[in-house]
Amino acid sequence: MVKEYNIVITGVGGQGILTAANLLGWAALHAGYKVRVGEVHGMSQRFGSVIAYVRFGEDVYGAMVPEGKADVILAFEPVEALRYINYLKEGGLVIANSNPIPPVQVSMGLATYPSMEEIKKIIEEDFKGKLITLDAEKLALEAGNVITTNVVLIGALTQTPGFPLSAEHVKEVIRLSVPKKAVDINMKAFELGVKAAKELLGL
Amino acid sequence: MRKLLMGNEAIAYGALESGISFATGYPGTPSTEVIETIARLNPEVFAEWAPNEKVALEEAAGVSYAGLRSLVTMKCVGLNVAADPLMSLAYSGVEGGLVILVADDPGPHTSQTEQDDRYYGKLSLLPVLEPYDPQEAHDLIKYAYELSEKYKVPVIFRTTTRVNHTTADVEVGEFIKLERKPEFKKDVQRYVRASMKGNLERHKWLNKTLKEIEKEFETLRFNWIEGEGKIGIIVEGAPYNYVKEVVPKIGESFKILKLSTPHPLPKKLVVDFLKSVDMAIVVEDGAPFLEEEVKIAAYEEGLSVPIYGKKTGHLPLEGELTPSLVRNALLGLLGKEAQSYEKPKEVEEAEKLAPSRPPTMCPGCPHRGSYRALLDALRELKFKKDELPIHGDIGCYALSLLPPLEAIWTEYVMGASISLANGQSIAFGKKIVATIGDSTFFHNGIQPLVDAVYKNLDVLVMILDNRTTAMTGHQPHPGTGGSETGRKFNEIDIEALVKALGVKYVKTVDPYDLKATREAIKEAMQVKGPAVIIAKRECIIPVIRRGEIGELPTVIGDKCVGCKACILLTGCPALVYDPEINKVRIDPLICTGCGICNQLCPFDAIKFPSEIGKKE
Repeated sequence: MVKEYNIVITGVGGQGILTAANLLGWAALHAGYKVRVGEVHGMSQRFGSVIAYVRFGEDVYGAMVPEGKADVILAFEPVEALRYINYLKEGGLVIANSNPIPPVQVSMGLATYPSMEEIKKIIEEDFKGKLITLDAEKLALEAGNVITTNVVLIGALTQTPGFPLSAEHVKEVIRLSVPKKAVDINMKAFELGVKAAKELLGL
Repeated sequence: MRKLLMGNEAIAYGALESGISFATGYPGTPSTEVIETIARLNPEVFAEWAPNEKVALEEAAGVSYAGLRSLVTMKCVGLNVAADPLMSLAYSGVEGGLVILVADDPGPHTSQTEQDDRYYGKLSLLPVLEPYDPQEAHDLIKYAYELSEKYKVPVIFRTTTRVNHTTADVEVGEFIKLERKPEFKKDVQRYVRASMKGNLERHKWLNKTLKEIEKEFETLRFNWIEGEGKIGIIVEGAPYNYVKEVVPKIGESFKILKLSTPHPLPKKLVVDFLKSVDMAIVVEDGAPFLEEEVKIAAYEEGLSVPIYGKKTGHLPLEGELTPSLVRNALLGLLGKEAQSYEKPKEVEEAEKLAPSRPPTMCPGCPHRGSYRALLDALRELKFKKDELPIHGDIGCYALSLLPPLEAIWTEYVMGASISLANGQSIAFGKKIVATIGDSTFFHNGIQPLVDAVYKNLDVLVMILDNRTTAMTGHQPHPGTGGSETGRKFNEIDIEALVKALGVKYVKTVDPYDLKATREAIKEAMQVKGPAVIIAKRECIIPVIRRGEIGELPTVIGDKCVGCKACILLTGCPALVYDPEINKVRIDPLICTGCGICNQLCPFDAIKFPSEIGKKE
């Protein structure tokens, strides 16, 4: 049993980040871990930047992942990986959805959206992390519904080197959590996420 | 039974395992999910929202006087609204257990102030309990009902965001139903505050009761000492988690006194602890409330042991505590170098590169139409930008402060938009505008409107009626007639209510219809005295959930010149500018087809499919 495993999930309000955090929390609980899931509700729902924490292990008490202690960051949007990169531990992994959602300020011309190269440079050079990106919406559509984007990303997450929960176990928890009629597409979405991450990580 | 529960859900379980009959409150982050969870798990309990926290607490008192158990929930500022009944209720006491859950928000994450409501315990002479995690929240609220009934006083149950909104594995039990017949014994000295002699007697009773409670807290199972060492840590609430995480990593021994009872302080427990250490630090979220109490207790005992905390600068007075802040404070006590609070250069660089993403009004939000129409109507009336004050209120529509609308000038407490406009119409002798949501209007907006009519004050009140309490997650309110538990309630008609008050100009408009809304505003601005416009259109989120989104517009490429007027006038997240082709496109995944941008495009380039080909 690990003593402490820290996941940070980031994205834009409305992308299903809290659902993903709770699914991972359930998976960890079912695997026998002590679990903490942290989130701040409220204004964050309204297309704003969102962060959630999932922590498990016997040394875990608070819900907040300390800065520089995240084993992995799962970003539903590229800039949201960058915004919270200070949570990543040295050598940690960032799994990011490659589809940018430009904030309104960018559309208005009041701010600029960085290029993927700039984002990658900061993550890998300044923070000594590793970044992999996948088009999760595209894979979700391939699975049958764009709504499964978060399951694609969870699938990818399970391939993080050293991830304490098995992909099969997480998949089973998702199977039990989603409505019956949506089981098939969610299972497919999960598998597509696993496959994409395996290729990107060279597993 | 072990479940993964949010702190607020754990509190709901604890209340249901205590056999409550009644739960009420006003929605407010981070407290809202408690009532919702109770309503979902046991609809037999009368778990329904009140118009405001004062009404909520008084209704709960009525239930408790009758011997039944009740729960009232609110966010930190809610207790300001309920403070009036709180003070007198303390003198009367209760029969059935009454617990007031008040969710403070150090950070702050979603609140107008970081106020620490433990001070209300001192002010009202009532006991205050605080849990450190969801499991303790569940267990402690069950104790709160025992405490309330044993001593016949209401109990303040203080939480913070990091407990309310932390999800954890929680051991829960069975719900119970207390077989109690409601009974209310007439006792005027106790329940009528008109007798000054009686009030003096009840004050004495309350102080005596508080002393007895202090004695009970001395050996309470939720207060304990752990560890051995000459440096003491006195800790309460969520920061206990940070202490548990950082202490083993520091590699020195500390002696910890963990408390769940900030008021009244178990003085003997604290003093004995202080005598056993060379120095102590008080670790708590919010104001230095516990630190002050501990210092008073030490002074009274004649102790000279140094006591550190927020007042001594070892921990910050503002914001919430984090594991790193606690670690640095402990390292400081050991004389070791603390890690710098300054952000590393790389973090600053990364943050600089990430464009900010504040919350915005959703695509299809009716408030966007209301404020666009208001700003345009004022411009057509020859007001310059930011010439006429527009007062805002609490709700999603406060997001109108952000670019591009930048509409509201003030926003601070529920209902104040109208009172502030009243005051400024007196100060300036001209028409001032207030904008207020439907739920907020019922919370505390009716009385200032009564005053505007009474004094014939020159105000335009726009009631932004989106048929729900949207910001906190869509709770019903009197204007909707909805219920959390499926009970049949009545709908209060806002237009009829406003007309009955005697407002001369009252008009209901659809904020999706910009022209009609603009015209109504221009008309109302000409009225001398109070005028009310009700901008009525349901919040888009429930509409989306019901799958009632109709056709979506598209940008006609030939016509779009890339002027971005649609984006600059609405700030709608569904409108995306593509610099490569110098055109705007509409994101069909988030557009809801509200048609606001269609009405604003100077080149008529945004069209619904049904319009295309009909006429040019």
